[in-house]
Amino acid sequence: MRGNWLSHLMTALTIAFVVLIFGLSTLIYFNLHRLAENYSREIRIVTYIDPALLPEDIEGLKAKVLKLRGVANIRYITRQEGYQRLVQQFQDEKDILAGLGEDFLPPTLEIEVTGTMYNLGRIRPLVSELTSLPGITDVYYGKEWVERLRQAADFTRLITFAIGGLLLLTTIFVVSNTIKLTIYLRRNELETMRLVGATNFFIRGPFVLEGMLQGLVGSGLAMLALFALFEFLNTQVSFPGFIRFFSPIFLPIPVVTGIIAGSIILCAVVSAFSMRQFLRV
Amino acid sequence: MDAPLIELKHVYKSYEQDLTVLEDINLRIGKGEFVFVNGPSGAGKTTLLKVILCLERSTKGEVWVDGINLRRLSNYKIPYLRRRMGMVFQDFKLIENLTVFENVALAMEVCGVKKSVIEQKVDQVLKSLGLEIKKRIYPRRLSGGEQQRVAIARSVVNDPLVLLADEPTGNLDAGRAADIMSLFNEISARGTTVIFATHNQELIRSTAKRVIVLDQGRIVN
Repeated sequence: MRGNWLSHLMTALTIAFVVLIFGLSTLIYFNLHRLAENYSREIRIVTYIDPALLPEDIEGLKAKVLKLRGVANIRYITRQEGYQRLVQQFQDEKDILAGLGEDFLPPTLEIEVTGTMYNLGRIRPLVSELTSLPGITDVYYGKEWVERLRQAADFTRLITFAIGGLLLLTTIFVVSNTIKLTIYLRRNELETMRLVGATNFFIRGPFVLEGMLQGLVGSGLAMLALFALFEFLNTQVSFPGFIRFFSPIFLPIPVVTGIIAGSIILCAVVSAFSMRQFLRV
Repeated sequence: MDAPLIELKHVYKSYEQDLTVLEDINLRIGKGEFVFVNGPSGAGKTTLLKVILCLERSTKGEVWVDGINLRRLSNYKIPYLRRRMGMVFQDFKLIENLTVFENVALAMEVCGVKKSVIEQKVDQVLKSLGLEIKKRIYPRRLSGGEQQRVAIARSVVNDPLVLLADEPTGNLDAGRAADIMSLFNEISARGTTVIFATHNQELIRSTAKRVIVLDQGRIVN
């Protein structure tokens, strides 16, 4: 490493920059995932049932609904229960309900869906299956919300993968060029090592170690910077609207360790491959 | 002659179709022999040494070193062959950022020799070459003759079977060249086979050794 510390520093900083971008997008994806998970737990599909159905027909309908894929639980709300709920909700404005009979609402089935945001795409087909069931007159769910959540999740996942790919390419390019520059600067030394009988493993070893060190320093710096940025945003910036009640968390230790370990392995592999051309006999 | 240590049979080396550097070289060098390889610049002396050290593969023909057919030697075994040979160059090929001691020790380090053994052996070799007081000095602070002695120390520290020298006195004045020559004679006297490539006729005339003369890639004597 002697002699060209500047190029090693620049490499480590470049790796740090790329890993920081990757880490930032992972952090956003991770928290968006949690946010969506929280909201998706709240998702309920409400189906209105034909008031003319007999109790045994209702039991049959409940059994059919429970068998549909994506249905976690159902709850049957009678017309009277539905009315009582409204009364509870409008305690202070009872006038609104004046003149309405206790049976003005149709009976409903409240459906809880399984899984998290991974299953958001499943809601739409489930809704059409419900609609087609005889005895169900109408189906309501937070259509816009579900769609938005699903789109945001898909988009962030795509961005994270794209940045991951960018990380891979940039690291390969930067590390391999640094190694080539180092080989050029140390070509006489390496030639002498070959002449005295050094094996490829002996020659390659220090370069691979240098690559690993660059990966460790670069990704370590990136994670520190990301943590500092996260802490700053978390304490200084107040989030608007619906996010206000959601407290973002930093990437868990296994994810941070994975990013650092991945960077080290990537740099080691790129270093080893960059030397192949030189190590021909 | 007993079984030769080095044998070349109809060896050719070409870089392109039109550029043949060695042509039909047949050569047998016995154990402990001292051989000069003589010829003008571009005659193929360096290429011949490189083929023996396996730095270059011959295009045609067979090269045998200590019973090993180099044509059949796999790439990963080449370093182990080189450890049994020493090579000295006109430009010394010392590593600038290593001290004299470290330069010599490198040849043993690559073989995985224990540190304590390295220290003992390198000290011994440096002492025999009169370099013990220079062991902590970097090569650029040494004279040409001293640098070449360090290179010789590095090439003999593993007690090689063969010592290959490519114009080792080419950068030295007559006095220094004679010193280096006497070192090679001493090494040869200890039983090491020496192949000494030079275009210096005077140096060859000063000894009564076997001479192989190359011209345009062919042995002409």
